[in-house]
Amino acid sequence: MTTAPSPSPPASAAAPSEARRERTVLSLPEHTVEIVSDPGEGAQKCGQIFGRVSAKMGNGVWTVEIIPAEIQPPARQPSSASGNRVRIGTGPVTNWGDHANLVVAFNEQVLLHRHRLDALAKDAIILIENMWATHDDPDIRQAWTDAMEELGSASYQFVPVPMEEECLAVIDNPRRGKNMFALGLLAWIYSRDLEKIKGLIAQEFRKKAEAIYDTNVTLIAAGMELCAMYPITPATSASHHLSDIFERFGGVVHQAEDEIAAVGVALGASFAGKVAFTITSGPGLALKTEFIGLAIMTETPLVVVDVQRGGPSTGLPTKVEQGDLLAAIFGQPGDAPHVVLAPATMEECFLCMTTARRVAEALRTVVIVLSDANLATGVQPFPRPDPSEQWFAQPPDLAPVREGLRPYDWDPQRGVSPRVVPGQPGGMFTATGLSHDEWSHVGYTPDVHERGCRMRSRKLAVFQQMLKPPVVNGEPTGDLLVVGWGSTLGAIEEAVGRARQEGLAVSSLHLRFLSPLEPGLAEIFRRFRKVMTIEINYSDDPGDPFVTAENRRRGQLAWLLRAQTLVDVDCWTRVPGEPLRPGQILQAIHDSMPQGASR
Amino acid sequence: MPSEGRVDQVLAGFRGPLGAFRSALVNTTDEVRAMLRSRQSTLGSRAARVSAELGPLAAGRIDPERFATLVLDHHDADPAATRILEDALGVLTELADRGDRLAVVEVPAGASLYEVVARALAEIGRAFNAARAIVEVRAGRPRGGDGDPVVGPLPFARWTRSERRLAPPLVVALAGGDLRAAALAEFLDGRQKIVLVVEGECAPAPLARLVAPGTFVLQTADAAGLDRFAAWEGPGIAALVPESAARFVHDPAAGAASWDRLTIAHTPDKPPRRTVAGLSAAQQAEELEILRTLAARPAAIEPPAGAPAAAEAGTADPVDKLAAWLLSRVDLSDLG
Amino acid sequence: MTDLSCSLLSAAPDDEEREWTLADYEAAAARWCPGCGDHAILTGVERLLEAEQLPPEQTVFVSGIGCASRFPHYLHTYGFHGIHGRALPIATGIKLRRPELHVFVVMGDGDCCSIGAGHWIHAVRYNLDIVALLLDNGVYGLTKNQTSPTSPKGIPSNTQPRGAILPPINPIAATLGVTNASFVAQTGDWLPAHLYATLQAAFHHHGLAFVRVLQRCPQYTPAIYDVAMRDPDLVELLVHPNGVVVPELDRLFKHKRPHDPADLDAARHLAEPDGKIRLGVFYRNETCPVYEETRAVAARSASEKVALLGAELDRYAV
Ligand SMILES: Cc1ncc(C[n+]2csc(CCOP(=O)(O)OP(=O)(O)O)c2C)c(N)n1
Repeated sequence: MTTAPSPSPPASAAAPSEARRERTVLSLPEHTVEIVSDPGEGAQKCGQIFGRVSAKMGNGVWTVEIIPAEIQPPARQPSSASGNRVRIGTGPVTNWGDHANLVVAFNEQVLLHRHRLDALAKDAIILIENMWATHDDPDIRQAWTDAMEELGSASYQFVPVPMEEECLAVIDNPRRGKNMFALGLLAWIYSRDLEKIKGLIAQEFRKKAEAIYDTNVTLIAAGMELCAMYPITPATSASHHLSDIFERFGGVVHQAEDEIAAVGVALGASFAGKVAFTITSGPGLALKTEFIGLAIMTETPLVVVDVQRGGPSTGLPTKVEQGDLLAAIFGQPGDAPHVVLAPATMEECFLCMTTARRVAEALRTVVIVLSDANLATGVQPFPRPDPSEQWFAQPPDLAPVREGLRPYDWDPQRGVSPRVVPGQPGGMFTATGLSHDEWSHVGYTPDVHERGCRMRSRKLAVFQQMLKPPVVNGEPTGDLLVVGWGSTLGAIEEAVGRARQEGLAVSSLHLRFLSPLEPGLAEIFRRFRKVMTIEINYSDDPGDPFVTAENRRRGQLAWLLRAQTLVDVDCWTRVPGEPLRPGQILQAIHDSMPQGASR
Repeated sequence: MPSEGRVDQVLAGFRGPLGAFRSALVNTTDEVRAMLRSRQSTLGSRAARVSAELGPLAAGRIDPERFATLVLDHHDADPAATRILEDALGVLTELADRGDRLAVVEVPAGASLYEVVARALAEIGRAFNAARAIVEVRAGRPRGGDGDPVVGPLPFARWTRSERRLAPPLVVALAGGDLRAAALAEFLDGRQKIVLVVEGECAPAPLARLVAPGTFVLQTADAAGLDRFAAWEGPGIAALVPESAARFVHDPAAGAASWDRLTIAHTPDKPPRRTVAGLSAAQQAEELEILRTLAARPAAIEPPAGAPAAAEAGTADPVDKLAAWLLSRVDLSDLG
Repeated sequence: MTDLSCSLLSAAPDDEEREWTLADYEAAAARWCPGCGDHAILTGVERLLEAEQLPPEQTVFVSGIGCASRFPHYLHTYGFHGIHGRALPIATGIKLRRPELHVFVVMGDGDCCSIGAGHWIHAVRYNLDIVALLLDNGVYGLTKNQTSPTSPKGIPSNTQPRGAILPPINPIAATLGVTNASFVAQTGDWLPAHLYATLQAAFHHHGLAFVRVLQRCPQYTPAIYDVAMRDPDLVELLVHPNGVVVPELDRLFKHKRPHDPADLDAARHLAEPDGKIRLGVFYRNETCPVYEETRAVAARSASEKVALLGAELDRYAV
């Protein structure tokens, strides 16, 4: 867009005299920056570009969106805070960190919100729009004074910046340019490459359709040709960008009338030989339940992506949580064995769809991919994948079916069977959700039902034996083993690293396959004095009123591991509606070290 | 080619069917590639293949050798059959790479239009020939060494019903003096469309003899009507002719009677005087007369009212007989 | 129609010359109650398959759950016996990615007009080129006699023993009310000639052909259609060359109404209840956009996709 002011170093802006002063260059191993504004002022875009340019300059980066639940909440309210946290470092950055070191705030109320959430470092530098202090409206001036008083409890270093005034010097509507001003400010402070910034801005504004997120390309890479979805936050972020580019790859995004129809359409396409996927979030997963059962029963490959958000019910629509694990594995009535896997990084999000699709095809079953709001909306650099033709789905083989082949020609040992697809001469059969035999003939006799259940279940046992045992991060023995899954990988490993530096004998383990569980867990667990999961879902804390060891409701992975390994797995879980911070996890590790642990 | 611009204009009007044919070629090459990949019999090569298919996330997490046991392969891959698949793939890729150009031919001055069209269609037919060879391999009975080479052309006469519906349109650039279209009737079947882009003077109604109940026939000077022509689900022939020639459209969807289907927009004022494209003035006059006869509503028949009685007219339609008779009168001997 | 997902392999002559007989389409013996209208509908459909020479492997019947939904099991084509109310989404997925297949959907009235009502409305709007049959017996048969949304008011059932409380949904009027509806017809299982002619018209329609088949349930709702079956005077045939014309029925029915299926207003008017059972094509419009065609995208070979993806990734490369 041509009207966007090109970000120039604030020599002409901010405090001009200071800007011209000699700069002291500090070399920092890492820094965490937040940009917060009212919604619509573009702090998110500013943060995204800042994150990307940092990535392009070779920094490690992790970004997390700060999102209010409403689209247009009232201006200047703490709950309206919208923006981005960008953590950058000289080495790889694997999570959003603990506290922000530098904040650009477009007003004091949104800053207050971050302060109250303990998101800011005690000595954070705060660049704040200072027009509010002298605003015409006395209520606003009063709000400023009150906020400053509350903020005074910390030892932040405030730098007042006349953002609006400076913007007005260049354009008419400061609301549309402030974010670029902030970007310029950050670029100057962090010595960012201006040419790269200009390129990215041009790309952002040239055409909305061209702004894609890395995680969305993945779905194409998986070689699927149909994404059937019904809009739901935070899954929409993936489907929006996919809608923009999918057709060029020969794919279609079908926005169905509801989540049930979406999975039904995907199932139909898969039955017809073109493995499709549906993408949703918790409430949508609930609606898809019956169809997922049908796909499992008819052994039709299908990939379901659940971008988890806070639950139950509408819960926290825009915020991260890992509350759907058990629903994903056990949510279908009856025995419905299928695969559940959870990518742990954005790179894994990119790669996992290919794996999911291929596994679904080979096992003729459903694969549920558990992502979350943190992975779906963030930015993280990773090595450029090298796509291969083999990542793409192969077209269905419509060769005539060999004489005598039955639609469910189960290998009696392994339960697997070749797939038959409409169009194949001689293969005609009716897939059915009713209990059926190898011919797909409906049968209600005990042996037919038992055999069907056994064959579908056996496939998971077979697949579990194809999995390799997970690798422990840290020493293979010790006092405490922290087990996690999904997007918490970076924060957990950072916390464990710090704990080990303190001399604690802590290791961690991160699972990708949750159904079937990866092999050798009991064996690994036995080498630690204590095993504890860390998850972003609700669990009772041991000391809570009425809570006893017998009635304590535990984290979802902990349930699973206890049941599967018979090890007394403990858990530490929180549901703050934001990613876990490594500092919090470190504290939890301290608090959970088993008695008599070595130091 | 002087008619280049008009050829491109015609091609643009056929985006849909051309895209569909190319998609079919592309889909089929993917199918053959998949078949070729599955014709590897050692466990090691299968493991390598599934490992590539599972992608990098599976590295270190899924044992490819074990996973490979889930994948069915053709252990009995016979090298001759594999070679057929490879040849067929070569043909399909080559044709796909040609893109729209596959659907364009030029008649060299003085050459036979019939011959050129037959050859161009047979060239497109290579795709079908290749597909057939693949189907035979898939069904376990690969073509023996003495059969047709997979890469060879397949004349239109040997195309199946479905192949005739799938084939792309053919755009033919030619000089008016070479326009002897009557013999092209044998290619008007399925959904086959032929568009003649004519340079220079031609006979006034060279396509008249091709009017048949289910065939879309169009003579136009400015590409008007080509969109409806392209949308027609059946066979059709069109010619972009000079202003001096007749302009008419015979749209099979427009009614059951020939006068409902045939609309003449223009006929030359002066009767034909000299021989063009080997057609004597009398023959040319005859062609114009065919048009007039077909387009004339018999005086006794009322135009259709609210509830069309046209449905019944279908069987009584004289046009079938007339068209058959006309075609039987055409002398094809000099057309090779 | 331009089909972009087609493969040349499906056009190869393998079975081209094969002629299909009725026996080729028959599968397991139907297990509906004796006298159930579904038997006659199955026969009509088999006749259609044979007349149209549809290759069984290129034909898919999709259904939900209910007595009617057993349909696919009794045909030797491909079939998907899905879940209650949701046959249409499955059919949508099949047709969207494999437009070359002939797709038929068979639903009961609970299936289509109650639990699947949302899908029904939207499928009509998508207007895929499929045939959707509503086998309407005015009752939940499989679950043994509960009130259905099409049960006539006052008809008792196990859930509403003092008679259906609400006036019934009118599936024809409802379908005619949906934007992009392209073919709406009604026929009865007890008139095989009319049923067959209607199925044929539906099959030849380009777009979603919605056919409500009035279907007798001798077990639970004999009262609904038996009167009409005995007294042809209760029936009015809609006749038109672009609808269905069944000369065999000319003598049986004295009420015939010429109705041009192009006339939507007249169709809506005729769909209103006025004591007459109207059979024939209410509406037909071949020009409505067809979803699998509007959504058709050019195929990309794996190597083209790799190149495109590479270019996409390069935009993000550091
Ligand atoms: C989700 C769900 N709810 C309820 C049922 C129980 N059920 C099966 S068939 C049916 C109704 C059948 O009536 P209809 O659709 O009219 O078909 P018919 O049996 O009369 O042919 C019901 C309620 C079910 N199978 N699934």
